[in-house]
Amino acid sequence: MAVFDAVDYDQHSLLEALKASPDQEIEVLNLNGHRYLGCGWKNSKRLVLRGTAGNNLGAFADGPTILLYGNGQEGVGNTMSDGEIVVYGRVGDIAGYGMRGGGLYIRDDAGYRLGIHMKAYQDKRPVIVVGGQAGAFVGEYMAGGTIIVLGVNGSNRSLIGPYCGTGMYEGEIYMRGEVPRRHLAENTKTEVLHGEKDLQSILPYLMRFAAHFSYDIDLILAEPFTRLTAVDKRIFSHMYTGFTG
Amino acid sequence: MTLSMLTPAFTVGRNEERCIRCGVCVNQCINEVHHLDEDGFMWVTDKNCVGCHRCAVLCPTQALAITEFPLAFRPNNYWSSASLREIYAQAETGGVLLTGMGNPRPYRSYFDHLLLNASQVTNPSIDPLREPMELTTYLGNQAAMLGEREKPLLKLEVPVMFSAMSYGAVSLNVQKSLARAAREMATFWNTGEGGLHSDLKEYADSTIVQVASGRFGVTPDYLNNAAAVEIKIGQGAKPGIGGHLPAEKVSADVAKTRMIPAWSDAISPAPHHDIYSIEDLAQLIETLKVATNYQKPVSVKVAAVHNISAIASGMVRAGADIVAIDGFRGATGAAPMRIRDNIGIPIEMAIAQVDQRLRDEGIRQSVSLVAAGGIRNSADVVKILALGADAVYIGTAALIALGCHLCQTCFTGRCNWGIATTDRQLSKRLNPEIGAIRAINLLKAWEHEIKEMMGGMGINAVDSLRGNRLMLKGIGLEQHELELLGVTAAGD
Repeated sequence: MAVFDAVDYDQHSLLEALKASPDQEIEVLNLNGHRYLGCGWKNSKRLVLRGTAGNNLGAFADGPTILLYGNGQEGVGNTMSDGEIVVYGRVGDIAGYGMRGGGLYIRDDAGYRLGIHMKAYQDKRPVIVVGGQAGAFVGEYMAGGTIIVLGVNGSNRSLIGPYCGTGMYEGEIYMRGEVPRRHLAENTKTEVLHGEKDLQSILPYLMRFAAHFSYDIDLILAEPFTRLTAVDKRIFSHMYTGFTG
Repeated sequence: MTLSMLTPAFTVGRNEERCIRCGVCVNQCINEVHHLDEDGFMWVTDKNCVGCHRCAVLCPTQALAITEFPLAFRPNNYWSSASLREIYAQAETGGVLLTGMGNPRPYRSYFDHLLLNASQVTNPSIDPLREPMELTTYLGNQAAMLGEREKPLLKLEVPVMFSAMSYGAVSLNVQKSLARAAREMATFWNTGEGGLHSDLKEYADSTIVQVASGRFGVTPDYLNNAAAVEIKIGQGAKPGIGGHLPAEKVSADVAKTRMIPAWSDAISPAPHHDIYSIEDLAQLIETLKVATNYQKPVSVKVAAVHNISAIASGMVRAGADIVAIDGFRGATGAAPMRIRDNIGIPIEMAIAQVDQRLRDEGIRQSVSLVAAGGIRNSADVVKILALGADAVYIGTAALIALGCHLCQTCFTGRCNWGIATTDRQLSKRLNPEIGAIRAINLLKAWEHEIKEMMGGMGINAVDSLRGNRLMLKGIGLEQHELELLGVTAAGD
């Protein structure tokens, strides 16, 4: 395993050093806002990061496992194709933007615009699990995949911010607990699910979250979940009149 | 059902003496304008006709004539028949009017108010048939400082590229035709935002791949399977709004290329939600450069809007290697009519202003300018280069070369020419081998015309034409317009 101390590197030289490393497992210590780590990586490497990762961590990534012991900034997992990012801390805005595969597990909170434009295709089923809360615009324009917001970290903040699911037309958002309707977009419907049996389809994700962050799965399943989906899958189809004259 | 007040736009006349009842028109029209009944009578449904001319062009006896439907409204210089018909359509449906292709309204075209210079006596003109004429153009950041990393450049043998047109908006055979033509002519074609079909990977070295807000089909392989990456911010036909490929056009193959479920809408709203500022743009540009190992220039495409020079300056400072500007005549597969027809500014003004602004700020060398939106012919190319562009994108002209008749109904997906459709049967009507030849012919003809015009001016390299506004004179323009374009009046 190669170990790099980020103190010795600036933004660009750290990326060059990581790229040049032949090791399958790489650890970086003392990260201090270095950006674009793991960006565009198409491999099965394991990247262990300690400190604060800068913007667009794992953007366009296709396969690597990234463990971040610390907080992430904006754009974690931006347009990610495959792989897994596990954050032992919180992340900023637009995490998982346009994500089309792989998993993004966040122990604490996520900022605004979580999982916007997330989409699924065949075996590509992206999933985001947030242990704490998420800000406004969760799953805006969502076109597939799964977002789960658990609120298990004991914060008093609202589970999600307003405008959740705006413009959404595919995919599912699960929120642990009750969510005020005023925070949910018009074109969405909710149902309340209880326990392991109702939550069969997302149980593997919940188990994985529990394993990553040492939570008791029974504790997570103890509360009911609200499942949010789109009512009309063709939200814009009634808006237009084709003018052929 | 209530009465529709919309009368047909066109009427299809059939010369009965010429018609041989062969049924070609019946088979060729997806809109079911023609019908041959069992008694041998030909029936015509005028209201279905969009004026695409497919039947008339293929009719073996030239029996068909398509004219405007002869129903004249009382003459009115303010309320045109179009404005009435648009209101009828909206009163019947309550919908936003949707249309295709570029802005057709009679706004002033500055191209048509600019004249080119030629040499006489004092400076000999050059005959491109006997003397070498250099059109080679490099696009990218050419301001590298000593010791800096070498910046990647695109090399074009002719300063004309094919505009972004996504698979889904156009058929795969359109992309195949343009990709082949681009490779043959040593220029580039652009995937648009709909991903890169596996059949087109072999053209990687001639391909510019686009990243738009929907991020359709954007993977590390996609980014690296190209000569350059273009971030699409805006489009001349619909500045300020995003893209929306209706579910009807998202066939299984389109879905595979975009990596979304088939027969679902493909929506890419106006902002990239990871770009709310110039600083954010800088980050996406850098992210793409990191993801492609600094091997590919990054282009950023925007629509020509009022404040374009300040916007372009910001884009250059954000690290864009190429700034592509799409003027208000730029076309689209689908856009709300009011937006297409009323938003943006002419590309001639935008390029003149941006080129001057970047020179004033001393950053013109750090970027190449690509002009798009309404380039109709080689003279337009020469004029826009003289106004300051490095190269142009052509979309509408390329589609016309492939057979488009500008009926402006691309959004229906029922294109009788096999261009703006993803229907398998309709797509077959465009043979990509023939399409490629037609596109190559167009570029070759323009290339020769550009060389002749340059030669006439006594210029033998396109580098000496770029931003050379002394080669332009304005005709019929106001003083302020001349100043904005940076040219003087004919005779001045």
